[in-house]
Amino acid sequence: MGNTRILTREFEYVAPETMPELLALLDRHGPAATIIAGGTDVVPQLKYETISPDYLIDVTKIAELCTVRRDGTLHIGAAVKLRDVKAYCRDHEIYACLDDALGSIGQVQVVNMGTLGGNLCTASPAADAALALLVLEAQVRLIGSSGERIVALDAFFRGPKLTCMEPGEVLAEIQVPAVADHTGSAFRKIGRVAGDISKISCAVAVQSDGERCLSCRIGMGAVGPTPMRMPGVEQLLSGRAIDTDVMDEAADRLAADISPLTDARSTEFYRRRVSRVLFKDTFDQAWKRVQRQP
Amino acid sequence: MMTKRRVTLTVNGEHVEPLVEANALLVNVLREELQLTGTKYCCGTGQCGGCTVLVNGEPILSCLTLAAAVDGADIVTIEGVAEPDGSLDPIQEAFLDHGAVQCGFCTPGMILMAKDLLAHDPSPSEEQIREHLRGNLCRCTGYHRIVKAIGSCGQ
Ligand SMILES: Cc1cc2nc3c(=O)[nH]c(=O)nc-3n(C[C@@H](O)[C@@H](O)[C@H](O)COP(=O)(O)OP(=O)(O)OC[C@H]3O[C@@H](n4cnc5c(N)ncnc54)[C@H](O)[C@@H]3O)c2cc1C
Ligand code: FES
Ligand code: FES
Repeated sequence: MGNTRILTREFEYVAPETMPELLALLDRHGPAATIIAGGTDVVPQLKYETISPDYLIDVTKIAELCTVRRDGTLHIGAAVKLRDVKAYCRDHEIYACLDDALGSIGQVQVVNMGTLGGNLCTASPAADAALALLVLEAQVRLIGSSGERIVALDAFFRGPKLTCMEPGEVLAEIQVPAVADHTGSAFRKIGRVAGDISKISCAVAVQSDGERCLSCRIGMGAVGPTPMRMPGVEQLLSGRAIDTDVMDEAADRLAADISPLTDARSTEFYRRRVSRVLFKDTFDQAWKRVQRQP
Repeated sequence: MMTKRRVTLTVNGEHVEPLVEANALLVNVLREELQLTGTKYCCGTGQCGGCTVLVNGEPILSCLTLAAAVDGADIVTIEGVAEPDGSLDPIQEAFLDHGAVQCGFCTPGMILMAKDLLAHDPSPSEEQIREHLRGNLCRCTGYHRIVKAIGSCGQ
């Protein structure tokens, strides 16, 4: 473990104000450059000496990465602070699971500092906003000097701390498609104590006609190499009238489909057992939110 | 050798232009360059909230913030909470009245979080207070008196 009081690594800090400048810097410095946004992951990594950049490139001064707009699809710039995303979601109930996820983040201070793009690019299996965005079927817009592409979020995550971004690419924007009518969503997590990251997390978006689940999207965090969708459980529930037997069946399937590990935060046994309950509670809350809609 | 840069900050209402290295953390610039040692360095990894300061009105962790990244910002530290004549802020008074300070190491962070909470919500519930302070650790008081002190400031 490194020094937690000062940064012993020496680097240059650069804060470009336009995308072309940013892309040119990334091309010029290649692997010697690391992007920094809110720094809540990058600065601890510098302290623990798990990264050793010669250039830190701050993306938060680029205006187009800091805007939120909606045209049916919600477009959130990658460098928008988590607190601003949260304020937006509080006013728009259809993004309830994202609001829940941001509200569950350890510290108010981290919500004020961290960015939505940073939460995704850490590619942590326990990233809370990432899991909520997964069940909202978000996409990300990636830009590099040779062009741009749009990638579905489940294809963006490749493994722990691994994304599909190529060297020189940046995450520019998160796109959340319009949410279908009669859809409710929720997110819940279990941590060791308030302020800790998830040892299991669950996000659900469900469309219902009051009795049956018309369609649903279920995501589980910290129980596999990436935040993951649960297609088997989603199929099992689609078109079914929801009662406790159906939910038990779905929870059994979910516990069988996850691939949790034993680590410092929890055990494989605990994660598999408690995932069932967390899933049922989260589903229930999303379900209640649909029923409350006019 | 890294080049140093001048950053322009307003700290507790005063204009300052410290010369900082690219890898300088805000907590160390405040404590060492500006001699404002009320801001505490404790865990250094974002776990405890002891290094909390307000940047442009929002509480952040100065142990995880590069000084270069807050160039131009308005910063309030615990030294900026009392009036210039030394009279204490009502939150500081309440901490004293309720015995919410023991060793005092967590107190600067707690008070700045309380200021932030009360600025957004003048009469928070106990639950909201605990929610807001969830990232600030105290090893002495058991939190109860801190929560009571902040609650007593609500209108
Ligand atoms: C005390 C503490 C508690 C936390 N609790 C939680 C929690 O409860 N839940 C949770 O989900 N997370 C938690 N985190 C993790 C937190 O770091 C992230 O949630 C945060 O969103 C990261 O955003 P950032 O802007 O600070 O990222 P940074 O640290 O700036 O960057 C993170 C990574 O993303 C890359 N990156 C950033 N922006 C871009 C971009 N636009 N394009 C390409 N790459 C980019 C960086 O190079 C880096 O690898 C916690 C962190 C701390 C310190
Ligand atoms: S010293 Fe910054 S959070 Fe503990
Ligand atoms: S009073 Fe000692 S840590 Fe809070």
